[in-house]
Amino acid sequence: MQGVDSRSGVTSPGVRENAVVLECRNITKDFSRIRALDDVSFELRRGEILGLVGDNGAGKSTLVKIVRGALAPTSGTIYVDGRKQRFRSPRDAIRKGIQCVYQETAIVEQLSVQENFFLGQELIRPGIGGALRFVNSPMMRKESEAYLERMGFDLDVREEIGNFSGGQRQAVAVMRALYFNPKLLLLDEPLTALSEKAKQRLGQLLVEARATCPMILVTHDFEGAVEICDRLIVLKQGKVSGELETRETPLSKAEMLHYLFTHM
Amino acid sequence: MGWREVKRAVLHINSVVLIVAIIGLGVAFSLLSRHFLTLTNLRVILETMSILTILSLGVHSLLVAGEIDISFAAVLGLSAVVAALVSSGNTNTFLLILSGLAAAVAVGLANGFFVVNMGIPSFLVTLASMAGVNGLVLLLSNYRSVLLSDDLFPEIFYGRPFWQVPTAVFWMVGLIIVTGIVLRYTRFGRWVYATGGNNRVALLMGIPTKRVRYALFVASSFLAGIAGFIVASRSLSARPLIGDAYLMPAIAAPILGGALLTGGRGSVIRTTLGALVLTIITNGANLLGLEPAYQNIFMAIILIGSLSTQGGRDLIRRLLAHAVARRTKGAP
Repeated sequence: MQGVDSRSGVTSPGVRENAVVLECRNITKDFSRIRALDDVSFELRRGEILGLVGDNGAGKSTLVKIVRGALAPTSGTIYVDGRKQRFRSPRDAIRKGIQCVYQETAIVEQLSVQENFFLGQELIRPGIGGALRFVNSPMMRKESEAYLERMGFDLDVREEIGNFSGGQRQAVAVMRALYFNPKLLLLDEPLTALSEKAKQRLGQLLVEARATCPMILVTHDFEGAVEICDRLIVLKQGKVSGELETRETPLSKAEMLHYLFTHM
Repeated sequence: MGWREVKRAVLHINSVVLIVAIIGLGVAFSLLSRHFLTLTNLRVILETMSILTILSLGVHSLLVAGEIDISFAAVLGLSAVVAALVSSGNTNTFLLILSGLAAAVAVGLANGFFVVNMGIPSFLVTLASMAGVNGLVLLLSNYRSVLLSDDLFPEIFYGRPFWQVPTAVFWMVGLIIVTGIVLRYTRFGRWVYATGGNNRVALLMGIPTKRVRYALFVASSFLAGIAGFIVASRSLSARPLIGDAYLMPAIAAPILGGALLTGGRGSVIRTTLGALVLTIITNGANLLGLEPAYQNIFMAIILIGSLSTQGGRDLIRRLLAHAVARRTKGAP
């Protein structure tokens, strides 16, 4: 099946394969005289975790901000499921099925686990209550509790999330993103601030969840990226400087790390 | 009693302290003055409390969102003076209300614009707008009280249709209920707490924090406008700068109720209890014939005391909460 641009009727070559969920084509971003991204193109396929790696200032975060609607590209096009998209805001991107998990856990410490779980996407009561935008707290509690439990986390969702560990908070943030069945999940350095044990547990969680939700993992932890991701794209000074398959490759882990270091 | 129950009890420490303070002050003033515990005086307390509480609700909502508005005292005077001036033209009562509220809301919109769009701290913006609006009120009123020439207007805001209780009290109760429901049970309310708790995260999660803050500045001015109508209806005239007397207590009430200046915390019920504590103090001091100077000193001591113990209460709450969290499973 061929993807067709809904506005212009232009066919995206990236969706000739059914499996492509996201295609970024020729993305360039300028901040006054500085070119943060220079003609970056890549695609994300269904069932994979794509790693975006690179040194500080390589353009990883800028790219993620563009995909999640926080920045507009200077030029270039984004296709989601073969349809050309232009996100006006992060809310717009969320509405179109793009969820994001951040390095500094995107939670509000003063709110409970369930309130954070549905933050910005609160469940609304049916009927007149819904018209007045009353939140459906019992449903939110039930849903968040059941989902977290299914994923192996037994937390009292009525507790303030600020009382839990960094790992537990990040786990809630990841599961919150997965709960909404996103078309794709952006993970912007989600493991950086965590302990080794928490990193392993969450890494495992991501690998298990990739079948239902493709992901882009932004990281400068090369070892972690090689273990978690199926494919890696190396960014250097705003350009794609290398690409690496990590699953079906004759390269050893050490060779893959060597490749990444030489291309950054 | 399990850990969770212990923690929940500690979470309500602010409410417990306020209720104990109300009972303690009630007992103390009853012993010191035989007029304190009379039906007439309790009615006076409710009447006095109504204006303060309505103003506090606006301040409270903004504090929860991490902002502050100190222009409400001037806005109170503005809405009162505008309504009184319009009333001199023998116009419709509805027009009086509309013009007073329009003036109040205009100040709220201006505050919102400078804080939200220009990024100027809300304290500075509302400090400036307080001075500007006060000046405008003096010019509009020609430095004098303006007579309220309408029969229905005072009936709406300070009539006594039931049990000699003025409508101001019903306005207060209604606004407490509406504000409480909006903040606690609606999506907008969740957004207010999220905006104040962590504005950056709220933005990341797609919450329109600018619109939320705008709406709260307008709501605060709207509430100050209603309070202005009550004040004007009580004295059947609008005196410029009348709102200044409410500046300190209306900010103190939510803080006394546990709202943080840093945002993200606060409860409408506790703010109301805070307003009641402050009203009882003023009322009791009046009955004892204490000079207003002593009342101000007493109020300052209470405010500073509340702010000083807030850290300790928060520490106890956090220690217990962490102990509870450690006992839950699933920690990665």
